[in-house]
Amino acid sequence: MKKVRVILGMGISAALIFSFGCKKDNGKSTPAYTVPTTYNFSNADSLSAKTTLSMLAEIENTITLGNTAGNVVSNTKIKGMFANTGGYFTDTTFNGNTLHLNTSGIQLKSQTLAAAQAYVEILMDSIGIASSTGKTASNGVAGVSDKKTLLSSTGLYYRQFFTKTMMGVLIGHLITDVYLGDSLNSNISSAAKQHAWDQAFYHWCVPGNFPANRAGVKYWGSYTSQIDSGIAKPVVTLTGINANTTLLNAFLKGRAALTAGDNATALQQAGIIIPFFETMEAAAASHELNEAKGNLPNGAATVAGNLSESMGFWTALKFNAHKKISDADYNAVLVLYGTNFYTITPAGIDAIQAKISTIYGWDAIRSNM
Amino acid sequence: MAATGGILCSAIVLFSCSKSGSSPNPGGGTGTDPDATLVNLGANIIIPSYQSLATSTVALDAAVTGFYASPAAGTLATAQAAFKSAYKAWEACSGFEFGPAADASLTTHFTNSFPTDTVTIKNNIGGASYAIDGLGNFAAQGFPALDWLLFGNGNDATLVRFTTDSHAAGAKAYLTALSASLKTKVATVNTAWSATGGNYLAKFEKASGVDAGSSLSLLLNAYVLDFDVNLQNYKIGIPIGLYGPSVLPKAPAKVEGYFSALSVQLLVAQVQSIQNIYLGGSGSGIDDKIVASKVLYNGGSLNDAIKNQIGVVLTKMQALPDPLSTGIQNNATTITDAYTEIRKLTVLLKVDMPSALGIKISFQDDDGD
Repeated sequence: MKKVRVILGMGISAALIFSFGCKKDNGKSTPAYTVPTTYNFSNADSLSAKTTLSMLAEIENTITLGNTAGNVVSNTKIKGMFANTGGYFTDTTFNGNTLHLNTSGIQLKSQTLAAAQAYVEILMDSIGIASSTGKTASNGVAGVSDKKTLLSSTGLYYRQFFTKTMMGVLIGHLITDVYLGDSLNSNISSAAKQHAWDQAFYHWCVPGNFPANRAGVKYWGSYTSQIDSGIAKPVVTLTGINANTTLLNAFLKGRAALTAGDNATALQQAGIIIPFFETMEAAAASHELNEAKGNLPNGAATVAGNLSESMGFWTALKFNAHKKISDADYNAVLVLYGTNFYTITPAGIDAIQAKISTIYGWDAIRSNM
Repeated sequence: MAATGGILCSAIVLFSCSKSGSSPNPGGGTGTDPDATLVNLGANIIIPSYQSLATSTVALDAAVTGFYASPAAGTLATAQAAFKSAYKAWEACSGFEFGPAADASLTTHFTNSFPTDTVTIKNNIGGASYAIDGLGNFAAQGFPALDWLLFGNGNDATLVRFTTDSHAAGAKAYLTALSASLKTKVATVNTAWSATGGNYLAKFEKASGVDAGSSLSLLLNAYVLDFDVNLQNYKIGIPIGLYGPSVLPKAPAKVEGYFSALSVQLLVAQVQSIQNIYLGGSGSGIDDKIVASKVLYNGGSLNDAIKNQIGVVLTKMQALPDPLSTGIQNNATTITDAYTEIRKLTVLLKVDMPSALGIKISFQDDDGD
């Protein structure tokens, strides 16, 4: 297995240390440029991405307080954080810079896909209500479970469902629609496009010398590795999703191209990343179903937690403007999740995964994901 | 049993033991030679145990059907007797909850979670929507649920529940759903193992060696968990108020088979199965591998130590006060004596045996051992 990793490492390096020759672009020829092996461009700045992600984390932390019996989560507060009103955030620091979140001018709500904003706010209202029941979670009763998780009356684990949904409607949307979409295709300056590209990369939430360095990975930065290597520990095989290599190659190549004024190549690389989010969302949904199966002996609350993560990813996919899955197929899977995690059976969990696997052609690898 | 701490599928803690000098997989299974122990255990212990369970769960389902058609003292007695036979047959199968059993959820968590959740059972009977195998229903199904329904209130009150009670229809439906579910799952596993069905037997025999996916590793992990967690902790420890280093209030009603007063017979059946698997009946067993490892224990052979201690535990089980719950109420010293011997056997099975064979025991119970 170590052998596989080494080969992979060499593969990345070999693929990336090459030069582009002269190309014609709008009548001018662009100078040759090298694509680096790490994301350390001299004018790259991650602070606004860090601001967004820090805000998301603080909302999550507030929701997490509801996992302790007796704590009420104020829906006014989390909706306020979502809209960045009310001054609820705490300043945070990154690389020696203080991020003043409340005055940053960034608002997660407006950064969220328009079609999903109301959905997120309804979810936040539900969280407030569930955290106020004061009851122990059970079938038909929202409250805190025996595993210290705030669940809906049908076993939905709010905290994880929120995060996984936001990984699509906020993070995925920013990367695929805003930065690699609107910005890249607009008439803004090259420097502005590079800045947008950087924000797209930093929303992946991996360090510049990823995957050799995995410090601080979060959200998609955590999941691209999980879907690449599955749940078996130690890593036995890579699944064939190849999320890390696909994203890293495209981000590096596109950014180097932008610096050199090679917009065509940048657009090409964006064209690799954008549809890939569907693959990631579906693969992550399937991955969490494997986690669910493995957790069956640990009780309903734990399994419902994994199912909530899975359904969060499937919800993210629903809002993915670039998805190729047909509505019929999408809904066929959704129906299998059912309406109550307390009544889903082990066979039912497998049926969801089998359907996702059939749609995406993952039968040979689905138990490795 | 209450939400279990035994985790079979997630590797969390790897036991590292300091014994050295044992050859990997002593006793056969090198190259193309079949492993005599796997062949014998598979064909002569595991398969017959599932066949026996299949016969008895078919009989149980038939008896329940007869009771459903005409609830009366006679049909109740027949159902009760069939239940006892099936429950005892189950005890011979809880030591190998891997492979087909895990896939079909014919595992202790779903089949034998005690004390049963009478609140959920009553809700289900009263009209709440449920799925027998639903995540939220695991503690309201299987043998413990049948135990309560058939024996929980004395025969007269039991008959009322199934005849004149306002929820009698719901009670009958639930009872039949329970026995049908058991019958179906056992049939699935039985077919999966048999040579004319899924032939898991062939796969079991072929996966020789001692790696994490080998048959010996799967079997011994399941076997040790069955003794340590199911027997030591849940069937005796917690009812007498002992859980690892913790002392709890004693809980006589938490014994297995509480309502049918079957606890001692079930314990004896389980330990007989533990012994059978270890010795291999009249063929090759785990004992042959321990002998081949040549590992010593306190100056004698480890095999003798294990064999003898299993014999001691079996004798203690046969001498327990019956019903066990009454004995616990009366602080019978035979029970605490038995527990002491059980603890000694746990160490031998969980530490010494795997070490001698080169097997990693990878579940962690949270009892602090």
